Amino acid sequence: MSFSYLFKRLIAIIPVLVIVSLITFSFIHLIPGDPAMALLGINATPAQINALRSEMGLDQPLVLQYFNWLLRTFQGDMGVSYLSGRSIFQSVIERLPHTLVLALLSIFLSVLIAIPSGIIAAARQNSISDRFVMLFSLIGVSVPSFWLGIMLVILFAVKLQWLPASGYVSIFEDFSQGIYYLILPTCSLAIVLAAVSARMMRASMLEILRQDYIRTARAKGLSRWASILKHGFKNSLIPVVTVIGINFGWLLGGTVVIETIFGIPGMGRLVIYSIMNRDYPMIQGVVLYMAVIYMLVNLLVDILVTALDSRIRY
Amino acid sequence: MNPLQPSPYLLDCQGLSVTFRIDGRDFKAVNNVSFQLARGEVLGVVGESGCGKSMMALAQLNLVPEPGYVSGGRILFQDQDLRAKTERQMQAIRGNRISMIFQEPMTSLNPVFRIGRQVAEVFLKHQNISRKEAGELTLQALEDVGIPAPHKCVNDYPHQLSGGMRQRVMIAMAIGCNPDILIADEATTALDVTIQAQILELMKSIVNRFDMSILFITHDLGLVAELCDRVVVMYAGKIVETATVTDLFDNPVHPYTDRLLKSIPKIDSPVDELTIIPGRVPNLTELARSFCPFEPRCLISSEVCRNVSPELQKAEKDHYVSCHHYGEATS
Amino acid sequence: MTNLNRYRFYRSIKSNKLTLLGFAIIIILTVIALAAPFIAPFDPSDVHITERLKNPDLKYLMGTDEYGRDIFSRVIFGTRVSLQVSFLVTIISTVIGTVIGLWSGYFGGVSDFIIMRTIDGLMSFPALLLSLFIMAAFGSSTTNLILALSIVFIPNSARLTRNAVLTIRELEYVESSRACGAGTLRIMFDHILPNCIPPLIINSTVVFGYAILSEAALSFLGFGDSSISSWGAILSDGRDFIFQAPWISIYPGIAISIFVLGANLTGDGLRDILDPRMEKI
Repeated sequence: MSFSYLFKRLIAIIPVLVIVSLITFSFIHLIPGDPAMALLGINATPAQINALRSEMGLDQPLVLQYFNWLLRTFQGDMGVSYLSGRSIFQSVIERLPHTLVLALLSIFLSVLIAIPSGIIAAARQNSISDRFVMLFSLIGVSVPSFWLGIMLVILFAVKLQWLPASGYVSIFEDFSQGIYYLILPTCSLAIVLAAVSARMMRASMLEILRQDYIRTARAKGLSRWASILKHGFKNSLIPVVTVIGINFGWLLGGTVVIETIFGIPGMGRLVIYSIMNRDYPMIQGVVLYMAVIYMLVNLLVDILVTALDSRIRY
Repeated sequence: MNPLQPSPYLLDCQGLSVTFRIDGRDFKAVNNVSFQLARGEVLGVVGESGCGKSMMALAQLNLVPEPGYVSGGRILFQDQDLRAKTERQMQAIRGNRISMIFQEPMTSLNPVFRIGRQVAEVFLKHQNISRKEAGELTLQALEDVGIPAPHKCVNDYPHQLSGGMRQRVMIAMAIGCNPDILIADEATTALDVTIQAQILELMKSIVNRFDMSILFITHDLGLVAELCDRVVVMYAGKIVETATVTDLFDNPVHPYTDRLLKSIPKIDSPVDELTIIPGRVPNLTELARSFCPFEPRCLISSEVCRNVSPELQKAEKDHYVSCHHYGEATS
Repeated sequence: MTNLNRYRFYRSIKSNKLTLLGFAIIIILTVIALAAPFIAPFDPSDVHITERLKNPDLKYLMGTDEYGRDIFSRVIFGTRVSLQVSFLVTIISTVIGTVIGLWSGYFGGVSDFIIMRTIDGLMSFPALLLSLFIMAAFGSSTTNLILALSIVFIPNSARLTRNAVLTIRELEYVESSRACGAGTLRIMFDHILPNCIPPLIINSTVVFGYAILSEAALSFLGFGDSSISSWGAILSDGRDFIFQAPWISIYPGIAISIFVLGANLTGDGLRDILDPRMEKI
């Protein structure tokens, strides 16, 4: 795959990045009332407010503020949290791995469930297994993932007491313990994601099975399953990968709630905490990072799809 | 047939029927069809779209798609009934002893795999050889079908090749294991006329070089005249006439064949009006009405045609026809 | 019967049955929402301190919460919130999105570029995050929740409409410009909108479902009006009592799932009906 393609894609992202940064930046200024006043509370004196305003650079023209903010962000300096005084960047870096672990594990588990299910459902169209997969899929997309998490906790933590209701150990410190605490949160997200992906996989496979090259494979002497798996599989992955990419946004949103329920110290919990406590700079920082991550994931998906399908060479 | 004496035919299809079950009703796409194919012979199967020739071809390899299924008859290949074989046994035959190529080379090749891999697959499946050996056989096969620069071709993707080249690749895959029979289902229909001629030449050379038999399915009588030794004419799922190519063109005895031949405008004779066959091919659901499927469009049909099904009978030496009034049309 | 025929047979009955079921679910829940004061045995905010955290029984069909409020009544009244939010979000986002898409697709040029990049920008934020972001800025109330979710879902209909416009423009443009020079705009709207409507309808069912789920998630997290008994809020209350009173957490979730299921079934069915391009094998 050519560098020029990669380069073109990166260039195309820039205007979107600009918009994203604008949206994020405008946040503090969208808050009704003066941001400085909002931070200090009603009892602040005008002197205090003015001091904070000049400290935050709020007395400068908006455009200048934006560029300053942008410049500093590029350098990794997103400012400090108005609550803890710690660097926002620092907080994000600390918490990002935990969210990513949860997200990636969820994707992994969902793919493990969805791909075989989708293939079997398509190959055995209208059999019991197909109906079962469709049913599971339909229910899975209708159920709120956080409620699923709570239900799993009720079943496995309260009633059966096999797994913990909440708590967290980082897998980087103690792998098995970390996994132990991650099982329920991961399942909550993975099951819903699997439902969406399985549907896509099945639809994609059904399309593939009607293609002529599957018939050619049979004419060469391959068995039905060999034709499906060897020839159909790679082709059918493309829409599935795309779907997972699109749903990564949903996944990031999902981690916000799941982290809150299970007490995982990730970016999601940071967002909630910051919002509850009006830590506006922190909110800005975290949301910006999550948006950028989502964009990068979509770029990755595009590249992956191009790698899978040689016909798409922009 | 005397079981002690081997059949002189490579492929002996007896009373083959293919049925489609749609909405609870049965429709026969192929109705009691019988034909024979000798070694090194090219048998043409001619008919309009929808006459069942493709289904008949797929039935030989048991690849009839749902909701169709082979509902009757025997397919004797080297004296063994293919219908009695298990799926695994059939897999050993497909691509190995009997191969098939199809109409659309673009969609018949997997777009995400390179040519080399797709061709090598047929060797790896049927022969116990290494990847390297399969690669060498692939290059040889591509060369055999006249592809220039096989070394480059193996690394290409299907969309990078022209239509003619793709069909050559399909042929290479099909003849790679030196099968006894090649079934070509409208293999040249999707190609330009010039490319068509090239592929036809290729097929002739394959028959000569490898002593291969070809079941050549087409709707184009011109191609039949070029390539085939014998020909079978199908209409609405039944065989209406079978003869050598010369006999068929010189002396067609079935009214359908007769009009088919007459409808080809000849370049050297002046023609005021194109001969057509009035009416249209019946679709599967309409076949119930007459016993001879061609009767509604036939100019010489009579009462008996509506009430008694014409069976294949000998008109002359090696020339069979299923018609109550054969020979009367040509005048 | 072969697989294919079994399929055909079941599909014609089933797709209609399932679509009807989905539609029925939505209608029934709408009725429940509208008739809530008459159906609910208790006022949802009525406190019965002596009967806190009771198991579901004949009096309190779904049990009570930590203040002794009847969960069943709260769930019934919760239907109102979900319905109101989802309907409004769907309508607002679809209308605004369609207008934006029409403008962008038809006029093209710089405005199209800017609008589309903005849409892309909005879509680069995970939906829940964006709505949290907006609500964090403007404050948390039901109105803001509806506003935030509407903004989140505008890109869907905007893109859809814009694509439709671009397609039609290629097709009809030549003809209509020849037919009547003046009033091209009128013809555009007469031609484009009918083509947009099927995918917009299907999109609406999807947005509807997502809106219910998003509203539940936001209420669960503590945003949205805390004085009303939205399903998400009930679930949030229930979290502290998972061990003693799991029923508080079970029933609202079932309600959410059923509602979303209804939206999805309807959407699936409509997709089958409205999209003839999809071959029925």
